[in-house]
Amino acid sequence: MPGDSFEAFVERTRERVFRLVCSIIGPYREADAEEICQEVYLRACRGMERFRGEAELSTWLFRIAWNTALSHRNVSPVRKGTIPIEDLLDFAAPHDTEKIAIDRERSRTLIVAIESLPHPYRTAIYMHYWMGATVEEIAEVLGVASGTIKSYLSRARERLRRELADGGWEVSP
Amino acid sequence: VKRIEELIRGELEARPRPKLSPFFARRTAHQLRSQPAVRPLAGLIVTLLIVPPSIWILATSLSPFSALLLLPLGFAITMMANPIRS
Repeated sequence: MPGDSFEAFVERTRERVFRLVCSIIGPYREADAEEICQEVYLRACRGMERFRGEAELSTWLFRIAWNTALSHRNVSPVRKGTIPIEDLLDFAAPHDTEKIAIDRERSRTLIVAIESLPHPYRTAIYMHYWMGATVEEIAEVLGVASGTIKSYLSRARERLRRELADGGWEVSP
Repeated sequence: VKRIEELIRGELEARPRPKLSPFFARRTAHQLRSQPAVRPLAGLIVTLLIVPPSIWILATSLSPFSALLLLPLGFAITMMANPIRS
């Protein structure tokens, strides 16, 4: 494929691919995301000639991004050590009021709970709330119906609510 | 009592969104151009052309020394045809 048209293809799709990759690998490994995206495009370009239509091509590209990012995450899963210390335990700071300390503890519980969600739920949560993607955008990137994404988000919220409730936090649905 | 959606929004929307480098497309295109143009199929064909005759020569070699000389040659040609891509 000529370099110029490949560059245009990357320009057209890179943001969505990047958001998907970031959402799969999680918020503490953004530094790896660009490298993974590059690998995605190299893989895609090597098999480009097999594709006929634009829609099929982008769907296939997102599938490659999904698989590449997921295998990266599975090889090196997020451990508590990866999470910045300020997101975990920083309750002893002298300027902290009791309310701030409580908010931080709840925040920590929520982050750990999100990271323990199963893959499609976690990815949908990160894409929607962190990356600001709409339900329709997520559906297109993940290659499923919008209703499925709504269901993922709803089930994920319910799981997180239960997780927080188990930790002693009162949260309404 | 806060709603779960409010909590998730508060936690994740406040988090900075990572940005892709503006040179990403150009850099990726450049990396692609620098990839070897050899396709895996070509590598396989060349490997098939080199390896079986080498084994046959080894098996029926005139002398063990001449057979040993063919090994690095076969290896070098195989690597050229099917380069390791990082």
